[in-house]
Amino acid sequence: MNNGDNKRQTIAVLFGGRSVEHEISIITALQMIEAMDTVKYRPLPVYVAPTGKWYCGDELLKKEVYKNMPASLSGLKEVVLLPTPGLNSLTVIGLRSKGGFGIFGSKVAEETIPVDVFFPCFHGSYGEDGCVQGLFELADVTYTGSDVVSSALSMSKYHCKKFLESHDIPVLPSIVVSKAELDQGMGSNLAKMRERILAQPGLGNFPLFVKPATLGSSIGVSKADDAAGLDAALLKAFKYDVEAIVEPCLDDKMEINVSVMDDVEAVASVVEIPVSSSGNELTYEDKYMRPGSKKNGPASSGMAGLARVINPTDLDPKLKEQARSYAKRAFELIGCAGVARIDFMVDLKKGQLYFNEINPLPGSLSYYLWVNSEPAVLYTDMITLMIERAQLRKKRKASVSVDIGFKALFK
Amino acid sequence: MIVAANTPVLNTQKIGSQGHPILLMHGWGQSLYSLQALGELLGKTHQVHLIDLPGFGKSPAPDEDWDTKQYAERIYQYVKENNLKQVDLLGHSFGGRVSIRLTSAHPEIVRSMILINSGGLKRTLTGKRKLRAKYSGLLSKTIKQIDKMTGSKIFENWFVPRFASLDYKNAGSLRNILVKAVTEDVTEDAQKIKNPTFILWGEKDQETPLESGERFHALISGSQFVVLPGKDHFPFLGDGAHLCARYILNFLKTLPGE
Ligand SMILES: Nc1ncnc2c1ncn2[C@@H]1O[C@H](COP(=O)(O)OP(=O)(O)O)[C@@H](O)[C@H]1O
Repeated sequence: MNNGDNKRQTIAVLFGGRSVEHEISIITALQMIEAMDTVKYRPLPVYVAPTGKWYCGDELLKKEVYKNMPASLSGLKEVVLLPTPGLNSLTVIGLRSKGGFGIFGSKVAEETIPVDVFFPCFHGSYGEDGCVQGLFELADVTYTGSDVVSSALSMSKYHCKKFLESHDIPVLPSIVVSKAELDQGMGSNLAKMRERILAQPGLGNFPLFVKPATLGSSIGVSKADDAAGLDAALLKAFKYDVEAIVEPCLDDKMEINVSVMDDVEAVASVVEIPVSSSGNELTYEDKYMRPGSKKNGPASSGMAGLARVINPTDLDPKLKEQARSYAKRAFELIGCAGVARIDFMVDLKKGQLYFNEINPLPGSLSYYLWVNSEPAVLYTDMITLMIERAQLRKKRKASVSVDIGFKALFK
Repeated sequence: MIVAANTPVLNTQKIGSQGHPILLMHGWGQSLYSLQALGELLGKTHQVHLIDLPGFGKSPAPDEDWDTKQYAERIYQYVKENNLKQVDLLGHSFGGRVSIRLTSAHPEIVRSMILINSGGLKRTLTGKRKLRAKYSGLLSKTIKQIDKMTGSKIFENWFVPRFASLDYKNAGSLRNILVKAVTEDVTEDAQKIKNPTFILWGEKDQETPLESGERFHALISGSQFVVLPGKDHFPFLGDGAHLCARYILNFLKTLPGE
């Protein structure tokens, strides 16, 4: 044999999580593990249940396990990542002594599972927004993708837009409103909020578009055609998030997505135009529930199964280039790592491109864009690159000396 | 055009126009569809010919009960019909047997051979295997019944890709060919092969176990062998196609003319 098991590095693939995109994350992770170079790496699936508890075990590689949730959890090991630097492992918890009364009955040796690299495959809250990245930092482990600040900035749509706007990347005018303003005197405060929105430069005319400030996957978004519609749209968005963004609605629009990966310098994939079944906004159903484009393919293949036109030949090459170059700049300005997908909207009336959002952990890791890029990048190679880049970053960070002392206390 | 009795029409699908031609041959009970995802990835840089072997997919069955040597001859004719000077051959399972037969009989038209969890080496049924054969027969019956009752397609979509090569009952008119194939042993032909050979093997294979891969590696001089941990008899299914493509392309890169 040319390859042996003992040399393989363990890659903890984390997925699921306390997020509305829990299920999509499972698809992303299972696809990713399927494509991973298992000659070099040993994937260790780590499933974060909707409760927030972490589990691991090879059973998690089978789709069927997720049919019987939460019952199937009982067969799995519950693990945690302790914030203690230097452990480089997951700690198994919930171990109970079997004997009970023996000398060692009250205490059981801790079981740990060594991990070389943590590879988050979460989408949305707690996994894509800097939270779990914060835990990785505390534990001082190697992890793939964007760090705390770049994840958090990416996922806060409003902050992200304002930041990129300050670097001359075109964005739609917008305002952020908070649910807290409605806590007292709901009716009158909603009217005040509406007035404040309509007074904002660029937001004076309907239709407007309202979306939760941090969610993804088109959950809680709606279009407002008049004052009553705006009230309804705000209340809908507040069902899913404590803050909402309002911006002008582009009625005659086209969406363009581009993926960017970090290599020695950032590289951009080909562009895609996602296709909606209704001709309107892409819905959650469009993104994840429609049957895969492949004949006889699996019922759902996540973002990879979405109907889309990749690198459309009839799209103005100037627009393509613009999207790719803005995407690279946004990725670098925000300080992203690993792979991200940057979504743009084109106002077809004006021919103007707007940055809409950046996903620092995109569905299916956007591999379907890379395999169609020139030259084609295999998913396996993307994963390897992401792991190697993560190891390089960790090394670089470790070389920065940190001097922690107690001198000031005792001066 | 008169098609000779022993020359059934081959249904094929071509992907990609640049690079060296490579022929992809599927396993028993499969069709070119099983290798399509892999073919699409290889097609980015190579001229891929996906082949429905006679009796599978959209290729009509041969008039007589062929052995794998006859299958190999049909593929040889295909190479000639298409004016291909030299090809890379990729065979999975049953397609691997055909590749070995073809390479051994006509080494001059083969630039290299790639075997994925190939069949061709005989072995005795151990108790466990006998049991599995029995189990799979029973399971197939049950599943077919469920499909009939509920209109589901579990048999076609789940059972066939996993168990078909074990299921003698379902070989239908090809049953005699299957019996020929599984009782054949290609050891002698494998030993003759001098062409560059790459052997890729899903480790957790119940049908063609890892031990067969190791034996092929020993039989074919100068062959390269890569084991894919965690993968089964179909390492190229789903996004596993990317992993297989990575190792296949690594191998192809080392060949003259790349
Ligand atoms: N200003 C807008 N005008 C019109 N449609 C919009 C606007 N903003 C977003 N959309 C539509 O709503 C969908 C979801 O919005 P997006 O900002 O991408 O949020 P998510 O992160 O939920 O995908 C987009 O795919 C787009 O079709």
